[in-house]
Amino acid sequence: MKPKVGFFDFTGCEGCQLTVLNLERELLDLVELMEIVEFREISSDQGEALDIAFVEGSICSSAEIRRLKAIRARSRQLFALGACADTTGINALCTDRTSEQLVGEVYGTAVGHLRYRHPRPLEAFVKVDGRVPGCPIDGREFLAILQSLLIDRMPELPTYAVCAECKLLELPCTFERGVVCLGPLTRAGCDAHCIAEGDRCRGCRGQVDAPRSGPYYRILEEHGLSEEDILNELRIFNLSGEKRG
Amino acid sequence: MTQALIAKTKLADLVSFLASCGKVVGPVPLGHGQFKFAEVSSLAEMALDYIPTILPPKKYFMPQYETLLRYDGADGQQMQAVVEVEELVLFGVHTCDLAGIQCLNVVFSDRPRDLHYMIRKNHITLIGLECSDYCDGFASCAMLRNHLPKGGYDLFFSELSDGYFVDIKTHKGEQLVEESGLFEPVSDAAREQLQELRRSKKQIFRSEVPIRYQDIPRLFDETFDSDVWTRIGEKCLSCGNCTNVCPTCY
Amino acid sequence: MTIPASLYAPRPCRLLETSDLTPQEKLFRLQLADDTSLGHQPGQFIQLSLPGLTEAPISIASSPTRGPVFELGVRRAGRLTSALHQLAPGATIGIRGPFGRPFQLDALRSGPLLLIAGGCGLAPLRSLIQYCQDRPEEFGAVHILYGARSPADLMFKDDLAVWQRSDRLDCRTTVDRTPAASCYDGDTGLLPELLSRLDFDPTDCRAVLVGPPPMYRPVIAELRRLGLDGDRRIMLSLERQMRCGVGKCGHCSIEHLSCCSDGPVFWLEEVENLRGAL
Repeated sequence: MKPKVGFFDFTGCEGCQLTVLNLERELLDLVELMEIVEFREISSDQGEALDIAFVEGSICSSAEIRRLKAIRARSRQLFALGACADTTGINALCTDRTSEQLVGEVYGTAVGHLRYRHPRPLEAFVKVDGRVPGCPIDGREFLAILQSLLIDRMPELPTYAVCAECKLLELPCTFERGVVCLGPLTRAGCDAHCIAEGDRCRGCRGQVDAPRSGPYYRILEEHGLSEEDILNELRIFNLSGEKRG
Repeated sequence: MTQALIAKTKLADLVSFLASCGKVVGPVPLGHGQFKFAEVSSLAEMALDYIPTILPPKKYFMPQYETLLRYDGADGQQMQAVVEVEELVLFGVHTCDLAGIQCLNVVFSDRPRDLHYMIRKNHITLIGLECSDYCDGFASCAMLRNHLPKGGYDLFFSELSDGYFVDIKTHKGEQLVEESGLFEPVSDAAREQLQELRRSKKQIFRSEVPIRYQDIPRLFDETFDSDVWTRIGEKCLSCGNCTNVCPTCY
Repeated sequence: MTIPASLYAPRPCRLLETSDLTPQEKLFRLQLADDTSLGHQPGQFIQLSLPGLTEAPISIASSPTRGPVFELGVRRAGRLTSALHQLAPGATIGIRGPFGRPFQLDALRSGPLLLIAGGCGLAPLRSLIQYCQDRPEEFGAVHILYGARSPADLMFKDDLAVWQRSDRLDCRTTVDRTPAASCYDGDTGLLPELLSRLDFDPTDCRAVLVGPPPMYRPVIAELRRLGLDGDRRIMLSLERQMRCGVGKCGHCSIEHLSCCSDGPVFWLEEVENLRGAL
């Protein structure tokens, strides 16, 4: 029997689900191997038991917590799909204000009934079996993870940094052109996509398991970054970061 | 014939000739002072005065990813060993990288031999290129005495005033010289120029670190518990790139 | 292109039979799919693999004197070994090897033998014990000393019972603790204590040690105190993360030595002063 797979979204831009839908060439093959029973972007909610749930977005309200818990309860495996679900991603940028301030700034004072909580990753509320990191996710990596799951094998994320992946692709280091890059701290798996396209790494995939932040901050300081600059670098996707080592 | 000469004006023809026979790989500029070995079809694409490439040529001898075995799950796990291989000419390899490849050769030809490596190596033609001067201020080739050719190539080019002195080391190299029809016999003047180059290199290349070559193993052994390693370790980002970019590590 | 032989190609093996050794360890009886014999010697190991999973180095627990069927004692520890524990007879398993330097049998034939194992270390040592059992005329007195955490952790209990009954072997066990309701009748305490009470002639005696890293130094100290001093008296088998199995990859390096090809069996003096060896 084909495994039943569902896709769910919470607070986020739905770009990760779109990345899945953009895998046009592979999507039809995938449908042969699994049964997509839920995917709001293409179908409606059925409420049945699932083998794998891919959940996108951060959790921002009590209603979202309830819905997430219900998905967890009927899913054998639950995977965080993308940075918002995995680490809160860019949503965490708002945590420098209170939820009242945020609601006020966006909706004004007239809309008093809105109950808003600071965004949290799925892991804050339910057990997460695995994750597809990135903002947005990498389509190739999603396919590799799905392939593992379909043969009943737990997928493994790379334990090394984007920096190593970048070197293996022989991309000139961004520091050579005076541009700071989070590649040395960030988990690989994206084929250094941003650097290959002439940009730099901003850390959307989250950090490696044991980032050597202390020595890295010293390199950044050598490049003229202040403590606040360094925090700003990490704030984009790695807000919680860690204390200076 | 163990030596030959090629005029500088014919070097472009040589690269074109090689490219017409198969895949040629040489040092190409990436901008920002960086280089990599990549496929080329003409001399103009290459920068022969390159500094060490981001990855050393070991990527052609032992790729980061390679298929070692194929099997069909329905076939009782009967594995078929495979080698992914293509004819390749590596053009313009400096003596530092040649030394690295020779180290790899030792490890993989040591018994039991690694057939995957040995077969791939046999499909690679190595054309070395001598450095007349330091490539940059970070080189330490003289300390390890690798600023001079020590074998490990099929052909080795040393730059003279208007040509290249070519040392022919292997039958494969000799065939290439003959088939291209671009080489000429070595003249006494060319021999004298090569001697002059080596004399001048003796002045330029001095051990970059004030230690004796033969002391290096002992120094590493005796300083195993030195604070210097702790201090270097404190700078380490644990990225693993030292292994990736090392000409011999894997 | 395809090549006829590769250091990295596993050979298919048939799983003939499994049995429980302890709650965590199982015995696997295997034979090469082409029915040839493995061609190993006591102390060698193989790389065991299952497609889609990984490879792990496993000691061969049986003697080559017992024919083409060979045995492995495997603890359930990671993904590969857990999957292995699920397999039923008839399944196919990949193996590479045998690899490594075996026990130096020639050096063990001169006098009495102390075969000392801790925990899983009994698996590789069992191949040597079986060899001594099958070729009694070649060896002197054989003393087997085996330590485990608790009676339940003793591997190869059936073998231990046979060895204890044998006239030719002196087999003793010791455990760290004995639960109250246990019917265990062996010793309690650490291996050096058991060793100190042993009655044997140290002249020409050789000791073979296989066990977890913390076992080595105290046992070696006791052996020396008992007179096993000097070169080529104590042989040990070291456990490392062997990967290629043929001395190429460097995963199991102990200074300049590759545990997989220079070892896993070493004379004590070959490794005693190497950093991180013991």
